[in-house]
Parts: sequence; structure tokens; C-alpha cells
Amino acid sequence: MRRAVRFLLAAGLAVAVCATSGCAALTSRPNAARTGEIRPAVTTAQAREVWARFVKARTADPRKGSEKAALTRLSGTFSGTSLAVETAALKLDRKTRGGKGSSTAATYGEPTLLVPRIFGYPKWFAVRAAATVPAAGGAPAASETRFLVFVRRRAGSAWRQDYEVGVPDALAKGLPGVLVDADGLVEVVTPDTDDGLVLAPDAVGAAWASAVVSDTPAKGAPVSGETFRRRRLADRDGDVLGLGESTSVAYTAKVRSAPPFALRTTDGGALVLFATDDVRTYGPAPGAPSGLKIAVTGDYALLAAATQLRTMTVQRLDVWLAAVPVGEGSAKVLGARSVLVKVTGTT
Amino acid sequence: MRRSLGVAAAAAAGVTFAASLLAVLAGPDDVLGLPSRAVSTAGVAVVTNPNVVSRVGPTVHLTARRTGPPVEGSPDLVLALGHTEDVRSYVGDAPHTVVVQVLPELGTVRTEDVAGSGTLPGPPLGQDFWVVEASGPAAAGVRWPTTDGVWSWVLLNADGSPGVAAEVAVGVEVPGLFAWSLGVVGVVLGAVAVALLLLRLRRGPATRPGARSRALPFPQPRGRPRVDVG
Repeated sequence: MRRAVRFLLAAGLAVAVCATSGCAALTSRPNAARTGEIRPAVTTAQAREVWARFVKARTADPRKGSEKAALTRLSGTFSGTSLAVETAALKLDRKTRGGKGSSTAATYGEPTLLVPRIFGYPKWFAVRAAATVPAAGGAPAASETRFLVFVRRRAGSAWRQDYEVGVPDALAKGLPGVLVDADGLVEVVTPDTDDGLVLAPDAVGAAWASAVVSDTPAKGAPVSGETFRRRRLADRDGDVLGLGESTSVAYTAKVRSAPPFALRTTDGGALVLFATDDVRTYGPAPGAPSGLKIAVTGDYALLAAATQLRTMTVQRLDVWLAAVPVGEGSAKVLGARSVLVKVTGTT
Repeated sequence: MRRSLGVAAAAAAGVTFAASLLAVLAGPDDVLGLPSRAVSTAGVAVVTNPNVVSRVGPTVHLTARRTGPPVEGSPDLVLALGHTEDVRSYVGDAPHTVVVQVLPELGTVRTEDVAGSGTLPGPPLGQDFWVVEASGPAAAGVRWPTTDGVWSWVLLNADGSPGVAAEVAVGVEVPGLFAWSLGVVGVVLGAVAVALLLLRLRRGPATRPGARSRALPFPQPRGRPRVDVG
């Protein structure tokens, strides 16, 4: 009998003590995380939302309204290199056609989200999409594979499109696939480490900047891209031809300060997106008659302050995409996007 | 025997009192609260260091109540939790106050002011990096099932304006605590009742020491027996 009473009281006491503190303490444990988890830069749902918003903004005519209003709209959609490209394109377009005519913006289809794991900010993800570029300026409509990079520079700020570059269909077969892990995420290649690559991602821009302006690139140059290099030289030579034989040109390119974006490819290499400033300065050739001036024509005339210039500096902004292999060989530039930014000169 | 019963009775009283107290403290929502602490900043936000969330497991309830008289048109108070990397990026170089350490045993909160000239990139409500968030004109409360991670709590005005002052109370949810406490009270009281009943039955009605016998007298023969002598 006495035992029964004691048992009941002991059981009650145990339950009370457990409920008071013991159980709560048992369910708590030290926080195992000591450093921040390297999480996906964005959730798939958020990335889809960002993409849908971008396509909608892209489809709307960017030239609608005043130039100031149009530029404000652009800054809500683009940032960094792309904002510079789009701003220059908008200004040129408004001067060319007064903001009238059909939009020359590409239309997109078949987007593939390429979301990496990134710790800290800025965070970014890329989209690979088929794009159709409408016919414009005598050029026929073309289809491309476009790579677009969206960046969030700070938590709480908007995602904006920072890089966009197209790979022509003719070169698209040379594009390596982007490595995707079991979680469906892609791998970022750190810009300043070569990691077995022929070139570290942040060295590709400088190497290409010296190669693209060279009439005879050195054998075994770390970056090649004959399609684009020849096109550039043809432009330059065409300008000189149009301006007259007594015109000389100094042609330079330099990599922009914006950091490159690099993704690991299935062959262990990397796809690198970078940008360069391309500057050509035209002036009288040695021995040319004094007082010789350049007659500014075409698109240059739209941006130049005068139609007759003694020296003329033409600045373009270029966005490139290069495939960088591992081991031996050279990086290959496969995609480009270019816009005329500025024409200045001396009278 | 008498001594054992005394100890048992004292234990039963203690347990009943403790369980009743727990039931009152926890209430039907099963949350045991700690005393509230005042935090404030002249900057745009109060942000906790990751070491403040040092233990995980239980579900915690946080409630922030704005201190000071209510001001017409003042912005809502926002209480939110996010990954520290997101929170630090969001607050950026805006002036704010960091809760460096919370010492519950001393009842103190150690803070450091961080000077800055920046502003928040956007209003806090609806940001996609919050794990939990709540807002209200005078108070904001959230419930968070704690998990491993590097976390920071943030307290700020809904419009991101500077000057935030609030009393923050933390509670730990112990599932079933209210029901258990009431159950314990019931079990103990029931046990006492049963014990008393058993004791009474065991002793029987005449076993009390000093009690007078109330046995009925045997029937006495009436009159004297007659003896017949022959």
C-alpha cells in the first residue's frame, strides 16, 4: 500500500520536473552552423519571376515617352555593362529614328536557368535562351543563343540584367554545355583562379583585348576568335577607306573594370562573359596636308558634336563570351554584342 | 510511517504548486516567456549577431512592443529574421545597432552602435530573403521553429526611417506544457485522494487510539435467577 502511494507521488514529481525544464532542455541543442551556408543565389521560382519580368520589360518599346523617362525605365531593368549598352543603343536609336519605328529588341524563347551557389553579395544567375533578332538596318533577321546574367548587388535591391551576349547559330555548335549538379545547380568558376584552365577567367578579357585589335595575332595566342577579329578589322579598314587614304587610325581595346562571370562547363572548362572598351582614334596620316579634316558621316554623325573634325575618337562597348578549355589550347571567343557609345573629336 | 506521509504530502503540495504555476505561466499556447529586454537605436535597425541564436530545436516566439507614447502616423514596427549574409547586405552601411551578446542569466543585452551614411535599398516588408517577418503599429510578434543556420534578427521601422525603440520578449514553446501541467495537478490530487481513501479503509473504524468503545452491552438477564430448593 505504502509503495503504491510513493510510486504515484514519484511519477507525478517526475512529470512535473520534466515539463518544467527537462523536456525543453532535451529538445534544444547547440546551433551546428558556424559559417554561412553557400546557398543557391536565387530560388527557381524567383529566377522565373525575374526572367518573366525582364522579358515583359524587354518586349515593351524602350523608346516610349521622353528620353529621360526611357532612361529611367532602363535603369530599372538593366545594370552595369548592360545598362551602358542599352543606354547607348537607346540614344543612338532615338537619334536615328526619332524614337519611331518598330522595336529592334530580340525576342526570347526556350530559357534555361543557370543558378549557381553563391555566398555573399552580389548574387547572380544566368539564363541561356534562344533569341530572334529582327531585321534592322539592312541586316536580315537572325537567330542566336543568348546568355544573359542577372545580378542582385545587395539584399533588398532589384535583380537587374547585367550582361547579355549572343552566340550566332554558326558558332553555337562550338559551345560546351554548362555543368549542372544533382541539385540542378551550376558551378561558378572563381575569376582569379585558373583551376587547370588555359586562362583564369579574369585574364581572358585582357588577352582578347590585345588580340582583337592585332592585324597579325601572335601564334599560340591564348585567345582566338577569328570571326570577330576579322569583322573588327574590316570595320576599321572600311572607316579608313571612307575617310580617305590620308587618314591614320590608332586602334586599342581594354578590358572593362566590371568583373567577368564564369561558369563551369561539362568538359571541365569555363564559359566566361566579359566586356571591353574598343577605342579607335582617326586623324591625319603623317604627311597629310595641314588643315585636313574628317567628314563625319553615318552613325558617327549622329553622336559627334560636329560634322568636320580634325581628329575623331570612336568608342564602342563590346560584350564577349569565350569558351576556356582545360589543359592545352586557347580560349575561343564565340559570342559578341557591340554598341557604338560615343564619338568625340577635335575641331 | 507518519514521517513518510508527511514527506509525501509536502512533495505533493510542491508538485501541485509547481505544475499550477507552469500552467499559469505557459497558458493555453504552451509558451514559457522570459522577461522582456529593451533595445533601441538611433539608426535604421537593430540587428543581432549570429551568436545570439546559439541553440536550436524548440520553437521560439518573439514579440517586440514599441516603447514610448504612440505617435500619429508613425510607421509600423517590423520584426524579421534572415540569414546573416542577407541581413548584413540589406542593412549595408546604413547606421544601425548590433546586439552583440545576450546574457539571460544577468538579464543584460550588450549592443554596439555602427555609424554609417547609407540607407536601406528598399522597405523591409515583403523582402524575399526574410525567413519570418511580422509588423504592427505598436507590436510585432513572430513564431519561428529554430533550425541550424547563421541567423540575425532585425527590428526596424516599416519605412526604413531611423529611430527604433522596443521591448523584446522571447518565449519558448514547449508543446503540451499546459496540458501536462494540468494533468500533473490532476494526477497528484487524485493520488492524494486515493492514498487518503486507502489509509482510511486500512485502519478501520475502531483503530483510532484513544477512541472509546461503543460496543453494545451483552443482553443482561432480567431479575435474579431463581434457585429452587426442594
